[in-house]
Amino acid sequence: MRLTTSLAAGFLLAAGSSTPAQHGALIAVSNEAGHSVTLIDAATLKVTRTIPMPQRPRGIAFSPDGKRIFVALSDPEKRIQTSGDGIVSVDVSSGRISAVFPVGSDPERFAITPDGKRLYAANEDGSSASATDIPSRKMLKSLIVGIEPEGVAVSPDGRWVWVTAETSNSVSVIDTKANKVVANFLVDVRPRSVAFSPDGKRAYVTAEIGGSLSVVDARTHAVLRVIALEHRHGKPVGVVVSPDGHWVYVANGNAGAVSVIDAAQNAVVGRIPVGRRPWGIAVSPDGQRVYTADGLSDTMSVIDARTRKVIGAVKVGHQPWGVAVSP
Amino acid sequence: MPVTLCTEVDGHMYGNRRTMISRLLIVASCAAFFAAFGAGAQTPAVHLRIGLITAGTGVDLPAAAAVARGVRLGAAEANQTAALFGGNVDLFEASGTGAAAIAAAKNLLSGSKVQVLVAASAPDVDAISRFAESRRVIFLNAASRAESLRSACRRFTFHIEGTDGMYLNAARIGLPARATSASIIARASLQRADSVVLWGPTLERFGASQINARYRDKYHREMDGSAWAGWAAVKIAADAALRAQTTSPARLLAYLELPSTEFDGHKGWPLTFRAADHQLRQPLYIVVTTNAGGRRVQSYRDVPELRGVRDEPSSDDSETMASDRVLDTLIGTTGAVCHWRK
Repeated sequence: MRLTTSLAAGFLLAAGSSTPAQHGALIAVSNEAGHSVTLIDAATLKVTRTIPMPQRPRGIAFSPDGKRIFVALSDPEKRIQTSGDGIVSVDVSSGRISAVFPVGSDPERFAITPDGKRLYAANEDGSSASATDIPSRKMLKSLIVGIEPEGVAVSPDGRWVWVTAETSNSVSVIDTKANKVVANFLVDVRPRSVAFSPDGKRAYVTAEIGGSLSVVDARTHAVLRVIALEHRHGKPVGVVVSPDGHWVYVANGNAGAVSVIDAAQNAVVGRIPVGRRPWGIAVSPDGQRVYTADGLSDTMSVIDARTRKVIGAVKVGHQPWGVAVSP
Repeated sequence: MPVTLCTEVDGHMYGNRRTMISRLLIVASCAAFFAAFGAGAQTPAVHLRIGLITAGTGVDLPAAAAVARGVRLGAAEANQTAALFGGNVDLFEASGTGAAAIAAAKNLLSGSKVQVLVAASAPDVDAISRFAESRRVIFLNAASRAESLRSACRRFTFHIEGTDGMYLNAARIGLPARATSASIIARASLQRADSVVLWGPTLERFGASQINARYRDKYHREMDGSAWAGWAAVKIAADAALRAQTTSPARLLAYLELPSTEFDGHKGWPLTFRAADHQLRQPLYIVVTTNAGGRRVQSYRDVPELRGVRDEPSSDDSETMASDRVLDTLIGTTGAVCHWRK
């Protein structure tokens, strides 16, 4: 079930959502082909602003204080890398780009440490990951990881950054204190994204060709379980963990559906059809809503986490790629 | 270690409706996986040695030269991945045609101690395949489409390049009816199929644009099907060595033959070897040329189409087999049903 923006808003209002503000005050969607970022009020699900981007936006995240949105930009011509590659921060109140951060070429996904001071990005064409100091806007280090790196996640305590590499089928572990790769390990075929559990004990890695989710012991890096999703043909990409750690949500691009995994059982317990080619996925701070960026539908699907049903679809820009929710 | 072997859904391991032997292999592999990595050890290092036989400077046909370029890029990338785990993949080259190609292969085995051979030149493939079988070393065929090579049933030979029949089937399945006349299909085959290709330089999805860009950066030319086959041959060998934690040809062979062994070739499908003839299951592409403002633009349509698998999940078989079955429609029959000795 998909609804238009106005219908979705009406539905939510009619349903008397008691604490709408807890679903995250603001949602941001990066529109890869539209070269823009769409801002959506999380309570009303109305688009409040569309911010043009100078390049092709993909990875997107809020700063820990929620005042800025960070967006990874690459050249619009996918086969060419230019000096326009970088990560920018957008001031939420003004909607303007406030800073540009050097992170190396072709940044795709990235993560910000919990203290808001450092930014780690995957450089897809460079087989590297970069560490950048946010206050000084200086790149601190470029680190060798696997080939075609994409997924980046920082552990809840800020100590570790994991970077997946699609061609190498690997995960590289960066010690943020030393800014050094301290371990590498194999996961299932073509890993795309990674997310940590809130307690930092587990990490979850999607594998696009493997069609699976790997459950990894975050301390030992042992792959504990490989969970097949969507008959292994769903092409899973984005992954998020609910704030209470009970549920893992995976966006299956080819299947147009979100898989719900019970983290205690490591088992698939739900399937939620959304728009076409969902890649980006985010969960609200209260865990009640899950959002997907539906790349071929030009929509952001809104899922009620309790009923596991889509309760709305917001029209965004062309080819939405990533989605983030303010803290 | 083959992590995909341990895939489970609702407590049922994948491949559980395959043969009992497959089930035992899967269980054994899972046990080995957890035994090796349960304590959190980093993936151990492997040191793989690959031999490339070229026809020599000034002799190589364009396709053979492209295979060799693909192999070199594949080896550089495989070495980069192996280095993450403290290992390495070394490429050794020797040249020669006819009897000299066999002499080159012998030198690579005795002098460089390679565990895997790749030949760039199609006319030499059959002889080197025969040689590899006699010396029990892995041979990856990245150059020859000959059906007879598949029918030869040589245990240590695995075929990355498609067969003539695959190209014909792709044309039949993917081209409009008016284009599937015998003459056009024959022309597609004879001319190495301009309309049906193993790979295209403007493919984008599933990391295709990235590997195309890496090839372009290294060689300043476009990656075609022959180059892809060379690159994929090395990636498959190196991935197998890393997953199976071995460089022993016999053990690599056992891993490549496992029903659950899958590879990524940036084609969007899990690539597997068909047990009957060691042919790589993979999609081919129909080249669609359009005119955009006076500029010829080429795009690609994969055959079979990927969405076919999702729309028709198997009800009485494993999902891996559903994927294999769809790709088998493209391979058709090579006339080979090899009865490998257990």
